This record gives sequence, structure tokens and C-alpha cells, in this order.
Amino acid sequence: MPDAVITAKNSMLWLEAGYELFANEGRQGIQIERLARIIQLNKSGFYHYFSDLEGFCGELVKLHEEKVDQFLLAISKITKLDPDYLLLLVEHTGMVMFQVQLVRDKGNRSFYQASQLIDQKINSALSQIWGDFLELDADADLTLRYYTIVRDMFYVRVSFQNLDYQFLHNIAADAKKLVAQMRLHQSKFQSL
Amino acid sequence: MAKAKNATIWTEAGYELFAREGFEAIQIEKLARLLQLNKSGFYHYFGDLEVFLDELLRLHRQKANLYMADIREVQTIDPEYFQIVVKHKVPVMFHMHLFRTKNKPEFTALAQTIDEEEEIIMGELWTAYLGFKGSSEAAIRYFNLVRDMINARMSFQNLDVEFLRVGVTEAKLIIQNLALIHAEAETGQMQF
Repeated sequence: MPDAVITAKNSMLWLEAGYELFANEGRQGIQIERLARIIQLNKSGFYHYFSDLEGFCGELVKLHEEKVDQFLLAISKITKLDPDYLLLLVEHTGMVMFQVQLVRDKGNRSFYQASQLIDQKINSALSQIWGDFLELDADADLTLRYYTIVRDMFYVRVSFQNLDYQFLHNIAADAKKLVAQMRLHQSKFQSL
Repeated sequence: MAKAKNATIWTEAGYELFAREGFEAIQIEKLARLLQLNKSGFYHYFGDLEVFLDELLRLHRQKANLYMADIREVQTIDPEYFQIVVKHKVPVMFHMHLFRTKNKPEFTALAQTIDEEEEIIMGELWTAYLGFKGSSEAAIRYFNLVRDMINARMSFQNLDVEFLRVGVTEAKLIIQNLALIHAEAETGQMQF
């Protein structure tokens, strides 16, 4: 193999391992020693490819953005929230958990901005699908604002251990039922 | 007496560190550095990290009781409830991190117990705040959703009355519009 290919391949090893570690533990989990142990490479390689930890984390965010783009492409091909979108989330567990860690790391400005931008992109891609799922004759802006509340609740509750179809289905079904129930009780009360 | 006092220095510092940075930050080295005390003191009082974590949970239970006593006196969501939440900022942040601590069922269990207590105390006031006249069960479920949303968005830096007011007012408007809480005239026309 030409040197350039080996270089690209090795730097990808560092990045993929870092990505997974970040998704599991967040920024605090990223230590060069630890990464070197996981991929069984010498630490010196790290400094060869990446200037420092900050530079490395910047690369992780770029990798994340690429994975999000693939995710967005997949969203464009589905029409139903349950099960299509929920299954997509499960399929992209690593990406989802990386996003959760980014969102949680509020002390880091660049993480925060990147996570906000990504959330916005996903919101627009999902707007129609979410609106259809709720089955309300409400405008898209309103249902999307409701979505962000539900999504943030999901961000608080989710972990690698519990992220599966059933977990997501319960959240989505509860969110839908809640509005339907409030509408029902409200109209009953008013008809008394 | 001296022993109890010194042990308290460790638990109070650990409590605040947990509230600021979460479970991962609780390292004996780090605490010792913060307190400028010798690590051996830690082992003298607590033996190991597990015992120390149990102490943190016990301390949280006590602080949660003080919080509950305060919210029982509250007459309004805005501003009184918000003011109490801000007054108890450290326990509130500690509480948020309890949920994020995975693989620790006793952490999540305590967080859930406390949440249930809060929801019982706040239920009636919250239902009235939403202007919801139907079953308060649905309103209380929304309280839980909004609380999680706030948990996802808050940090030590941004948690103040204004932050809570913006987030909770938005949540109130969303559900009022979705549940047609202001649409009396429209519903009235549908009656015979």
C-alpha cells in the first residue's frame, strides 16, 4: 500500500475509536493513552496525525457531521415516524449518542454550536414526518416546537443501554397520547 | 466531633463537584486537590469510593427534603416556583446529573422517588398554570416532560429565573395551542 493510504487508514483508526469513546463517555473520556491502548498503536502516531486533543476533538466533530449527513439522507427516504424513523435512530445509535454527548457538554462553545446546527438540520428533515405522526390539524411550526421538547426529554433519558425500538416507541406514543388526551379532556370539560 | 466535621468537608465538596460536573468527575485525587487535603483522610473517613457515593446520595436526600419544604409554600409557578428552583441550584444540578449516571440503579431510583414527590406537590398548581381544566393526570405528565426538557437545557451558568421563565412559558404556549385550550368558541359551536 502507498504510504498515503496507510496514513489515512491509521488516522481513521484513531478517529473511529475516539468517536466511539466520545459517544460513550463524552469529552472527559478522550485520553490519548487510553485510545492508544484500545487500538494497540503507539501514542506517537497520535501526534503525527493530530496536533493535540483539541485538534483531535475538532476532527471528531467533523466525522460526526459526516455521519449526520448520512443520517439525513436516510431520513429523506422514509415517510413514517414509527417505525421507520425510530428504527433509523437505533441503526445510528453511535451517532445519536455522540450527539447526546455534544449537547450535554455545555461548557464547550464549539461543541454547543455544532450540536445546535445539527439539531436544526434534523428538525427540518423531520418536520413533516413528525407532523403526520401526531395527526393534529396544527401548523408545522407548532408541532416542531413540541418536538424539540420531546427530543430534549429523550436526550436526558437515553443511554447506550436503553436505546432500542421499544424505548423510542414508548416516548413517541406517550408524546402523541398526551396531546390527544389533553384535547379530549378539554373538549369534554367545555361541553359540560 | 472533629472527625464528623472533616468528613463533612469531603462530602460537601464531592456534592458540589458532582452537581457541577457529574459522576465522572468524582475522583479521590481531584477532590483532595480541590480541598488541599491528603487523600489518606478520604480513606480514613470513607474507606472507598462506593461508601462515599452512598454518603452523597444521603446528603442529596436531605437537601431534597429542604427543597420539598420550600415548594410546598409556593403559590405561583411564575415567579415563586422558579425562584425556589434557583435558590436550590446546587441540589437541582446534582439531581439532573443523577439521571445521567448510567449503570447506577440506586442513583436513578433516588432521582425517580424525588421526582414523584415533587410532582405530587406541584400537580395542582401546574394544572392551573396551564389553564387546563380537564384531568390533571395529563397535565402532570406534561410537567414531567417539561422538567426533563429543562434538565436537558440547563447548566450551572444559565440556570436562573429568566431561563426557567423562557423555557416553561414556551412549553405552556405550545401545549395550550396544541390542546386548543383557548379555543372555547370553536368547541362551543360543535355542541348541539
